Amino acid sequence: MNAMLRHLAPLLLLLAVGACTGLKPLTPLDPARKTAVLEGCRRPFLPGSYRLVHALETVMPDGAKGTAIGILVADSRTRGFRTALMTIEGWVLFDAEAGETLTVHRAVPPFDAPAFAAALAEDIRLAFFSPGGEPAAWGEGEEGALVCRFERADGRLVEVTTLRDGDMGIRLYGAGQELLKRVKMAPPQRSGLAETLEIRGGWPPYTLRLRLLESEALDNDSGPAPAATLPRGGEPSGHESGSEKGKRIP
Amino acid sequence: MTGIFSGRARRPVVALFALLFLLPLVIAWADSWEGLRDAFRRITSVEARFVQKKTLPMLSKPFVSEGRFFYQAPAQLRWEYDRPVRSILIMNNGAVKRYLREPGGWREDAGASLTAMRVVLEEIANWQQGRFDLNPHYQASLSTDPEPRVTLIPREASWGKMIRRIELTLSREQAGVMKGVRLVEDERSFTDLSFSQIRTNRSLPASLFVSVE
Repeated sequence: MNAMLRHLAPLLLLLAVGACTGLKPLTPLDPARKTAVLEGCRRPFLPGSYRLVHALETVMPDGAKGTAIGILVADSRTRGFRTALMTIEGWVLFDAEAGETLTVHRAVPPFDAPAFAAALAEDIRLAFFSPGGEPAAWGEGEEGALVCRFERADGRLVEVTTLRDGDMGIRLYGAGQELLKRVKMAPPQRSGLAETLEIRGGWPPYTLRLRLLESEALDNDSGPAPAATLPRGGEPSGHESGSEKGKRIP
Repeated sequence: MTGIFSGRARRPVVALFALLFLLPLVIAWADSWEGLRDAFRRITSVEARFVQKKTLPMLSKPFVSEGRFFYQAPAQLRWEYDRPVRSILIMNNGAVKRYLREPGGWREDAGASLTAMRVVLEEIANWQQGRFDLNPHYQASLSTDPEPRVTLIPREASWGKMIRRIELTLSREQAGVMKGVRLVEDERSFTDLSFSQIRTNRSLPASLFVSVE
């Protein structure tokens, strides 16, 4: 019996953890706060069309860490994007585009597995695109966090949380309220432009840590805005780093 | 004695004649495969700064990285990026390691891309020894106009899907020195590496190819 319990212990622990990560009821707040709370819940997401360049750290289940440069051109209104991963030396490992469908333009092994492309697309949509306009529920969660919950057409649920210290979180739950993925980010100075964010998810579990290197708002009517985020190869100047169009973080 | 052959005036004239005499030799090093191999064989070490510009259709301007490059013959390399992401790629006796700078110090990187980079680094080591035509997967050609350039084109279509061609621009002035590399993935996606402050045949500490600091 003891031997059986020992064998079942990891599974029971997993189930217990899964149960703990399920959705908890929210404490209702004064309806007068709704606008402010919802505005906060929109803060993690891109408000339009942007080009972002991140330093990307991957952590695999065995703890092995890898680093790449991630480029993302995303439009939150169409929910379409194109993304590329390349080595620091400029070697493009993966290039994919998502609109109605997901198209992989280039994938060097081991990034050529279809599951990788699908998981990456899900991560990008979760971290950068608003899950919807009006939440299904909003209120106060654990430790005074402000929470919005959005139902998705596929039966999943996205929870956006603003903690007391300003840090933000996004959680994706399955139809059975099991936690599938979560995103943590430092408070974005501008919507959708968190300087650091961490995505955890998948089975086997993995972690992606992103550090924003460059951002550029794109002219939504006539293609990319001409404003550069940095003088070519130069140091970021105070003027440019404060630019409304974009910035580069050394 | 006065005139153009006076002592003071003679020195620049002699220098000019010497330059005219030597110029064909300087240019000639990159005119043939044999000349290239001979010149690169005399290079025992290289130190240089580099600027890397990655151009992609997704980017409105190239993504720029900078750093330093070290080579010790026959096959030790250190490719050190100062910005925007601090990293060091070291090849020593065929072993390739990459280190990333984090707030707590350097950590070894174990990403899947290291396998691909090993192939790239071994190729660079071959080029540094003038062995441009060693890799059977590439067809190498040499041109001299407008500047000395070796072009490598994959022989197999499957390789061509990954990289269309590699252009190595050689220095006219410094025999055995590469001043630029362009890796063309397609006509709108390429990586340019340009080298500056190039110093050759200096003694480099062995530790450069063993540890990060």
